Amino acid sequence: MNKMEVKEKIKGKVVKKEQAQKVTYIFQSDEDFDILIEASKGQEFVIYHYGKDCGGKIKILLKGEDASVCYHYNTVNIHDNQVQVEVLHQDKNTISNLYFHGYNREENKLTFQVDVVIPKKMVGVKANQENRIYNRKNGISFILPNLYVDEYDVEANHASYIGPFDNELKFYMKTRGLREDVIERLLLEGLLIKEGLTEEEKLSFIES
Amino acid sequence: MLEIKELNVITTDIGKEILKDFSLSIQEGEIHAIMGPNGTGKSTLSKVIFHHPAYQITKGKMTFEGVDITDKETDEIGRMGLFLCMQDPLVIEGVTTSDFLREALYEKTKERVDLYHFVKEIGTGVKKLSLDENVIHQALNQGLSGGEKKKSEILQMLLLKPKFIILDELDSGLDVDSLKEVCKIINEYLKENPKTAVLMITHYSRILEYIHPLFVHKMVDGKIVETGDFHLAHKIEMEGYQVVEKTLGEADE
Ligand SMILES: Nc1ncnc2c1ncn2[C@@H]1O[C@H](COP(=O)(O)OP(=O)(O)OP(=O)(O)O)[C@@H](O)[C@H]1O
Ligand SMILES: [Mg+2]
Repeated sequence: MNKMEVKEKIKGKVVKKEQAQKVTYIFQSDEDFDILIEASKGQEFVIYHYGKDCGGKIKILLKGEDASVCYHYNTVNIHDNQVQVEVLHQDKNTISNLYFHGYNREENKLTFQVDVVIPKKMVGVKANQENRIYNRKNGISFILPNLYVDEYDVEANHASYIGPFDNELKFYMKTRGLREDVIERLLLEGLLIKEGLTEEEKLSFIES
Repeated sequence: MLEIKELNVITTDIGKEILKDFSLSIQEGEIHAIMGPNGTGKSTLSKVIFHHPAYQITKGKMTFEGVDITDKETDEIGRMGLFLCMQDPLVIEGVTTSDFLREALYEKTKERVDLYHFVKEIGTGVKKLSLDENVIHQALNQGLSGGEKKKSEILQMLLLKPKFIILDELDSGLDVDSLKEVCKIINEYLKENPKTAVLMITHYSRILEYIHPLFVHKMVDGKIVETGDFHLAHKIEMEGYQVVEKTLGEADE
């Protein structure tokens, strides 16, 4: 069975689009979440999750061959928050693509802990993650990617960045006459807004 | 139009001296070219005009249309109508060319951009420059080759309609035919906007055959050491910069 279970409440609407073997979920959360995703053979999950100053747990079980999950988590962080992600590749040729992006607005702590487990014999697995946190002030951010790989025939990549927005980039944008606040907004939208939000939702998310 | 007077510039971090007593005066409608060896401070000059935070002006001043811009912020200078076509344009992830330019136009004019005209104008620009139509809706400069990035700079120039254009090595990255095309487009722009002035930075005289400078300046070691017309460019290309540096050295002794 193919399912996504949200153990604790997610605020706002959950948009669900089903298309043959592919299910897309788009939702926002503003309190701590506990999410379980189970993907069976051939199933594909695409998630756009917008978190407003919250944290929680995300467990992804890839239970059948060729199951795949693409998870985009985008958050504006204000207080101390931690997001704990656990991905278990329980069958061959399963795919996980994780994009965890955060904007740490105040001087608090934002942590992404991402554990990916690939046991022996799970050949052909692909596990990618790209995590980024931009600190606006002197916030403390952590990205803790852990890969537990027991099989050789797999493809695993991870990239992470923690820091401020690049000064050269800001200079380039400023030469075109853009003000600092406009630049921040554009870069934030670029970092955090991926799909499924209306113009209003975008604004309220960025300005939260 | 742009007056730079006896500018001394050091890097903000370690205080390395880059521009020394640098002076340059450019009037409305004039085209100037600066040629100089690697590392002499040409790109630095272009960034200093835009108040890049990595550099500090320790002496001298700059004015644009009579307004002192020595201490003005980068974005203000941009809104005054100066445009910098960068030697190595950056990629702005997540921000589309279209969104970027619309915001920039709004900042400059403070009028909401008429979408119909904007779409038409950007479309015309893209076609003129033989860029892929998709660049409009892709992140700015993402996935573009070196030459395409230069074209993307010129696309921005066409939309922002500057009064003063700095071209930092426009010719690097562009193939022979593209360079010709792009220069033609710039010339058309200058014909339509005859008061616009240009400062070109280049290593080769080829681009100067397409965009004719009124003055050519030879820059060595952070300052202009010789000014002439188009012929100076050829002379530099024949003789290199070494000669000048040597004669300067001898003169010092
Ligand atoms: N931010 C900086 N910090 C330290 N040194 C710098 C900085 N910017 C420039 N420089 C140095 O200043 C000198 C001038 O650099 P610049 O980029 O202006 O040269 P250029 O004339 O444009 O050279 P090229 O023809 O290779 O483009 C170089 O030696 C460079 O290393
Ligand atoms: Mg340079």
